[in-house]
This record gives sequence, C-alpha cells and structure tokens, in this order.
Amino acid sequence: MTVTNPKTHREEFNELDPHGFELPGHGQHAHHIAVGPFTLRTVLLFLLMFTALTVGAAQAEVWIMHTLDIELPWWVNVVGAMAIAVVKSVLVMGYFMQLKYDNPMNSILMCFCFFALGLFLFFTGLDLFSRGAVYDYKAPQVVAGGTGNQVTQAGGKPMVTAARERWMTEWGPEKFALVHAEVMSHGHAAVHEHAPVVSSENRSRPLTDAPPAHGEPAPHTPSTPAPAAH
Amino acid sequence: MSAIAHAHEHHGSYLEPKGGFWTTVWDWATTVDHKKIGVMYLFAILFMFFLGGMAAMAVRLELLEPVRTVSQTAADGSLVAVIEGQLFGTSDAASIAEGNNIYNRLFTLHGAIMVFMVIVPSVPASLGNFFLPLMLGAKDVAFPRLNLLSWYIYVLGSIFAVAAIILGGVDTGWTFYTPYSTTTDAGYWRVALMTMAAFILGFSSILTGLNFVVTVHKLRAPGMGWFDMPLFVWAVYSAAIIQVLATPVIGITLALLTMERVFRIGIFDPALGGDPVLYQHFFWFYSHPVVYVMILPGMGIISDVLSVQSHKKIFGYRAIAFASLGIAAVSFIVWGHHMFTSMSELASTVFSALTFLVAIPTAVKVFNWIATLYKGSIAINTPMLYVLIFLFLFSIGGLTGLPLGTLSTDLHLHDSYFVVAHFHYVMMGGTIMGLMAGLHHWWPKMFGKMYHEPSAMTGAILVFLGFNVTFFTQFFLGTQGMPRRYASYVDGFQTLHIISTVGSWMLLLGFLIHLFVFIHSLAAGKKAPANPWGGLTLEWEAASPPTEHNFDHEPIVKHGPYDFDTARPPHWSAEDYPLPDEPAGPAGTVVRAH
Amino acid sequence: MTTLDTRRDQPLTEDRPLWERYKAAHHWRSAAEEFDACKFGFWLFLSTEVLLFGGIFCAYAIFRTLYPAAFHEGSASLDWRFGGLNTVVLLLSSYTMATSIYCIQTGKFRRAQVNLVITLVCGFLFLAIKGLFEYMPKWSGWFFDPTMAHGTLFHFVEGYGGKRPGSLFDYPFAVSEQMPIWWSVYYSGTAIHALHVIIGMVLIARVLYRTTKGHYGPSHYTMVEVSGLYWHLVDLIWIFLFPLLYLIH
Repeated sequence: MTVTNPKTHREEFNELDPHGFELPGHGQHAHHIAVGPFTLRTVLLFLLMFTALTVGAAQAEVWIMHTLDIELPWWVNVVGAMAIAVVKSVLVMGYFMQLKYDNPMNSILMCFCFFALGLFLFFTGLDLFSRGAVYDYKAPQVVAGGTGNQVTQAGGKPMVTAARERWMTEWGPEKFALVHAEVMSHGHAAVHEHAPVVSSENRSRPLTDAPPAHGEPAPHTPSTPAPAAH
Repeated sequence: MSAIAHAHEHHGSYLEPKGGFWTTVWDWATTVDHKKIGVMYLFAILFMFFLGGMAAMAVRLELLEPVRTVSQTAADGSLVAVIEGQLFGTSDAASIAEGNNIYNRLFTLHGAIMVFMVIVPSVPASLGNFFLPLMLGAKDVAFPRLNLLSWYIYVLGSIFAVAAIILGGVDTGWTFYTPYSTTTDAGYWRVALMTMAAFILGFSSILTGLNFVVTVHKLRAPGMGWFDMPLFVWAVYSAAIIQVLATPVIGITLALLTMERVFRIGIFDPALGGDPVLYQHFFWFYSHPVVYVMILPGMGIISDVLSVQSHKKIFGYRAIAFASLGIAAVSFIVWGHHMFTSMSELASTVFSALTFLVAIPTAVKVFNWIATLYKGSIAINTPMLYVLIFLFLFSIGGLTGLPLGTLSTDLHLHDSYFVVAHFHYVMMGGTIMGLMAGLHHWWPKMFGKMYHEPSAMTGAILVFLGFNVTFFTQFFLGTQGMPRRYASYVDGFQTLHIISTVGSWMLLLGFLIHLFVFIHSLAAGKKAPANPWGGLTLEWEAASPPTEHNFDHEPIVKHGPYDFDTARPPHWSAEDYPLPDEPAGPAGTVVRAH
Repeated sequence: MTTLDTRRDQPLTEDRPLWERYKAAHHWRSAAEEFDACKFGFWLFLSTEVLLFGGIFCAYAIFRTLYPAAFHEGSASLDWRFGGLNTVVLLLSSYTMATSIYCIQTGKFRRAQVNLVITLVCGFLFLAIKGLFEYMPKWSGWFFDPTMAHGTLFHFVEGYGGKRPGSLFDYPFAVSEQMPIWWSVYYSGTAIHALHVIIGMVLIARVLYRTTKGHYGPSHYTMVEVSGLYWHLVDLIWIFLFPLLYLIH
C-alpha cells in the first residue's frame, strides 16, 4: 500500500486511494467492541462486593475501636477506602467505559488527568501542611482563626457556639437536653465520643484569651464549654 | 463585505457573501466554518484589546500626578492636613477615596479584560482556529459545531463581563483574592457577575482546546506524521492540552468563590476555619499554566514566521517541538511562585527550584530561533520586524522572571512594578507581538489583500519604542519600591511615571496606525497572491482567501514544513524558485489526490 | 455546506432506518474516524470534569487533615445506609447503561430502551433519596417517612435540622467549631455531583427519545456511547465521594 521513498524517507501514497480504503479486507468500519452481558454482570457483581467490603471495613474499624479499644491510625481508614475506591473505578473505567478495549490513547489521557490532579493535591498539601513545620518561632503566632467577627450572625463567636447559645436561650436548659437526646436517638450512628482535638499552629480556632507572646507555646485549653452529655 | 466580494476574483472564497445583507449575517451567525469563526474571534479580540487598552490609558493618565497629604500651618497657627495634587480631577478627601475606588476598578477592568477576553483566546481562537485545519490539510476542525458553541460562549462571557463593568465595575483586581472579594460590596452582584463571566469564558477555552487536541490527533493529511507538522501546530497543541487540563480548576475555584460570597461556606474565610491562601492555590493552579497558553501559540507563530521570512529551515525542529510540550508539562508544577509571600518556607523553596526549570525549554526555543536567523535570507517586512521585536522583548521578559522566581529577591519585588513590567514584557511583548507578526504574515491569506508595508512597519517601530518607554521604566520603579495597584505614590517616583505614561501614548499611536493599515487593507488593499512569502506549509497551498472547503482535493504531504532547500513553495514557478536537483516541472511539489 | 446540520445534503431513501442512512460529517474520512474522534474528544471532556471535582476533593483533603474531629463528627451524622443505597443505585444504573449500549450494538432496540429507562429511574431514585432522605432532614428538620411511623408522611424533629453550610448554620448540638466547614464541603461536593446527575439524565432522556425514533443502531451509536461515558463518570465520582464523606471513622 505505501512504500518508503529511499531518497526522501517519506511514505509514497497511491494518490488515488491515500488511506487504503479500496484495498481488499480493509474497510471503513470501526471495530466496534461489544462488551457482552456476562462480562457486565460479573463486573457489577464485583462492584457490589467491593461496596460491601468498603462499608464492612468502616464498620469493622468502629467495632475494633469500641470492643477492643484499639484506635487505628487515621490513615488506615483513608488508605483502605481509597484503595477499594480505586479498584472499583478501574473496573468501571475498564469495562463499563470500555477503556480496556479502546484506543490506548484514551487511557493515557486519563492517566495524565489523574496525574495533574495528583500534582494539584500534592503541592497544595505541601504548603498547607507545612506552615508551622519549618521554623519553630513561627508556629505559635498563628491566630488565623480570628474572632469570627466577619459573620455578623454569630456576633463575634464561632458559629457553632452561637447556634448552641441561641437555641439554649430559646428552649431553656431542660428542653435543650430533651431535644438533644431525641435528636441523637433519631435513627443514625451515634456521635463519636472523643472530645475535639485541640490544635496548634495552623488550625484556625478562635481563642478567647489573648494570643501568646513571642516564644511562648500556644495554650492547649479548648475555648468551648464541655459538650453536653449524650 | 461587498468591497471584498468585488475586489477579488476567486469564486467560492469563504468571504464571499451568499446573498443579501441579512442572509450574510445569518450565514455568519450560524456558520461552522472554522475560518469565519476565526475571523469573528479576531475582530472581537481586537475590539476587547482596545477596550482594555483604553482602561490602561486611563490608569496611566491618572498616574501622571501623585496625590499627597501634607501638613500646613493655617492662618490661625494650627496644623491642618492639606491634600495636594489631584485624583481624577478632584482634591477633597472624600472624593479621594472615591477616586481610589475608581482607580481600583479601572485596573481590575484592564486586567480582567486583557487576561480573560484578549490574551488567552488571542492566538488560539483567532489564528489557531483559522490555520490549524489548513496547516493539517483538513477541511475543518474535529467538531465544527462545538467550535461555534465556543464562540457563542465567549460572546456570552464577554457580555457578562461588560455588564459587570457597566454596573460599576469590580475593584478586587483581576485575581479576585479572598477575603476582599468575598466580603466587598455586599449586596451588589458585580463580583459574582465578573466571576461568572470568567467561569463562562473558561468553558469557551476548554471546548476550543478540546477541539484542537482531537483535530491534531485525527485530522492530519496523509503523509503528515507528528514531526511533519508546522511548529505552530505543535505550539497550539501544547497550549490546548493546558487549556483542557487547567481551566476546569478555575471553574471550580470561581464556583467556590461565588458560594463563599453568597453562602459564606467558609473554606476561604479564616474566621470560619478556612484559609485564604487556599484560594490562591486554587486560582494559580489554573492561572499559571494559562500564561503558557498565552505564550506558546505566540512562540509557535514566531517559529513559523521566522522560518518563512528568513527562508531558512528551522534550527532544531524536534527540540522546539519537545520544548513546547516540556513547557506545557512544567507549567503545572510552578504555580506557587505567585504566592511566595503567602506560603510556608518549604513550599516556597520547592516552587522556586521548580520555577527555574521552565526557563530551560524556553531558552532552547530562543536559541534555536536565533540560530535559524543565522545565514538566512532575511526579508525586512512587518512580520519579520515583529519577530525581531518579539525576540528582544520576550527575552527581557523571560530574564526578568528570574529575579521573581528567586525567593530572596522576590520578597522585595513581589507586588511591585517590577512584576508589572515583567508580565507586560512577556504577555504584551511576547504574545501580542507574536499575534501582530502572525496577523501581518497571514493577513494576505486570510483576507486576500496585501497591507501597506511602509505604514505597517512604521506602526511596528512606534509600538516597539512606545512599549519600551512605557515598561522598561517600570522595572526601575519596581526595584525602587513602587507598589503595584496604587493610585498615588511618593514624589520621587513621578519622573519615571511621567515617562511611562508618555510611552503609553506612543504605544497607542502605533496601534492606531496598525488599525488604520488594517482597515485600509480590507477596503482598498492590493490583491494578494496565494503565496506571497514563499511558505511551504499547507495553508499556502490554498487560495488567498481560501475557498469554503479549504482545499479542492485532499493534499498529500511530500516534504517537511521547512524544507526550503529541497522543495518548491506552492504557487511558485520553477523560474522564480529553481531547485538544485530536479527536472523542470509544474509549480509546486505537493501532489493532489484525484 | 457550512450550515449547522452538515448531513442534510445526503440523499435519504425512505426504506432504510435512520441509523443505517447515517453519513459522517463532510470533513471526516469515514464514520469510523468520526466515532473514534468523538470518543477521544469526550474523554478529553471527562478529564475536565474530573479536574473540576478535583478542586472539591482538594478542599476535602485539606480540611479533613486540618480538622479531623469536625469531619469525624460531621460524617457521623450522615447515614451510611442511604449513602450505600445510593451507591448501589448508581452502580446498577451504570450496569444498565452499559447493557443498553450492548443491546444497541447487537440490534436489540426494545431491550436497549428498557435499560435506558431503568437507568433514568435509577438516576431519579438517587436524586429522590438524596433530596428527601438526606438533604431535607439535615437542612430543615423535616423527615419524609413513607412508612408513616409518626402518623404523617412528613414529620418534624425539632433541633435536628440546621446542618447547613457557612452562615446558614443553625444546628444546636455541634461540638467541633469547624462544623460549618464540614457541611460546606459536604453540600458543595454532593450538590455539584447532583447537578451532574441531572445533566446526565437529560442526556440519557434525549438518547432514549432518539432511540425510539431509530436514530441509533449497530453501525451508529456515538451519542449513546458518549452519554454512557458521562453517566459512568457520574458514578465514578460518587464511588469516591461515598467513602470519603460517609465512612470516616
């Protein structure tokens, strides 16, 4: 069909049929791959299984925490869930979206896309999570939480506190506790019992006390009242 | 339009009107022809360029004289504060504040229009749309109707932006930094309008980029491998990849900004636990790669125009092609250099190191262009003038990026006039000069008319001089400490500001000359031959202006795009262009399939 | 030739179905090339959608790492059973979408239409579950209970609602101070996703309509394929959103 001209090293075409459409056995039709129902059903089954697995893993983590009193490191949850999600997405992309049967260019494109996303997450995280990391003298100075003044509804308090106080004033303490109990029992997983982690350098929390002087460590007392019993 | 129809004799030219006035209007409004869409984009972009330019002239006019508050002894012996100088013609304190507000809105208008409506679409949407299919030997882009949709989305976005301006404008700067952009003008919708305009324009950019990527992959003529494409195509392709991958992030950024403004969701608000620098990360993840969307097609023009106008094979074709891709790739990992003063030390260090990387492929290109000029048969005409202007101005712009990429010096130069001068050198001295080079180079092909060369060259020289007077002085302003976006300043800066403003008037004069040259060319220009400069790429095969289907028959490529020594340019006869070793034959060595 | 419909100049013979008479646009060398290019172009568009959601995922990653307690508490007030049900619904709809493509490729038009209808129903179910069982109670405190356990279809639980983003936050019993941020991330992520579900449903509805008119067949089904890809992307996004939002422990 095409020969290479040795002098110019270029392909020489039959000028009447440059794309070779008229050659025997070389038609114009695309090779449409049909992914059959058996494959689709199997993939669906696997997807549902992995969904059950991911939910099961999360429940197992809760069970381990409550029964065996072991607190797994925070990344176990994330890594596990993400790994299963990645497997599911590979299945969807490969079989439902037919990447497996397609021009490899499409797969390369998606790889580039996820790589770009990864770069975005990585470098943003590099900044956001290293704010206090490099020089100790900087760390306690950040009072980036401000005082919540910009949200006029909150009237200078964190919005969560403002909401609680507003309802407390409206209902009074007994009704507040009653409603709280009712809400907590209303058919979903109970609130986790650990107290909120009090943060340091770059975690914005409004402080009611004056910010620490240069060189002093940040106070580690929570500024909110103790959570209502539940 | 009728002047054009009478003036040239080619039948079936894409410019020929199909009927009466309204028929022609409807034809252009519903066209899917990439050439017509390119021309429409071109006129819109040039119009927006003048609009943004007028805002810049107003800004520079205001900066002629600073406003200062001085203490004076009044008649009764007490000290009073007196305002000297004027801000927009007023002198009392209340209107100084209002004058500052106007100034803020003017430079925001200038920035937003220039970035979103002029420079990003400038080369890809106008010259790219027109010439990408022609250079590839295709009849149109991959998705012609999507192309038309891109155009209308651009129009819609521009209407939103103009509406925001007419309603009073926005004073946040074109970067919409939080927390000011989320808290200013509460109750007015102008910021939301402007961000929505940018959001919509982003879609136009994405769809254009998508179209171009698929076109380059799928619609090349037989015989045209990847390394037989003109370098303009490589450049537009690299820019299109950036457009597709980076623009969605500005979309989500502006959506989150609007949600922050309307619902106070709090992710950018420290009082609610958010982080304003996170907004900057989101914003610059797009806005840095987009500056390479701006410059890469301009560089592509330079590669092609320089090679044709010096009649010499481009030096290092593959190096330039891979450098285009390399610039596109590195552009995604350097955005933090816009935020050195906001980020952690670790991130700043990493970003600074990575920023130096992007200089490497850029320098490869500049050296290759200079090497191409060496021993070339250089024509002195407007396209070549603009190429040389580009080389000079862009090199300055690129080199001045280095002190900005260096952490220690950037701490002093950040948000000073040094930055303003730097980006004007690369964006205007780069992209706009490239656009002017490409416009003059391809004007005969696009419109079938020649332009008046001496006038255009005068315009080019005026633009060059005016540009340098305007912006070179700003480097000194910056190193001496003049901050950007300030309506007023200390007395010591006034001389340089006056010089800069005078330069802006020269710049305006130069562009006005070009405007008149273009209008004159369309109305009464000499009829252009099909290949006035002797280019070898496929667009010169088509008629000037091209017919609706670009080519009568599908072209087959038999020589490289810059093989000036072994291939004869299309439409040139053997007497005009003798080749060293070939039998006398008909003009052009590109054979048509029958 | 440069009108909006580039195919109208082809001769139409009445006896053959529309999909057999399909001719590719004039600038393509063949219908096969057009199909390949359309797919490639649409994958490019899908990559833009992925990066759009990438912004949300970045915000999520940043704020979950900064405020783990708030995210923990917020996630605990989401019911994973509804989220899981929604996941199953979307996975099923992806399956029926892929099956409908197979049916069109093999000429089983009736079955293809049935599958497309099921896909649409699943999409609608997803939105209904999200809106009625998740958004409404959290925002306002009103519950939708088809079992009528409280006597009426809708009943109000005082103090349950108010879980709203930003300045609309009004929930009395939050413990962590950055709860508004959690709710902002939750609502913006799921709302933008729901918007894409709606867009996907519009695309599929259009495809369904045109299938009944005979536009798509074994040799021409580009639009079906492309709509299917969009729908699978919607499912993909949810596959990631579900564990990140509902299963933080």
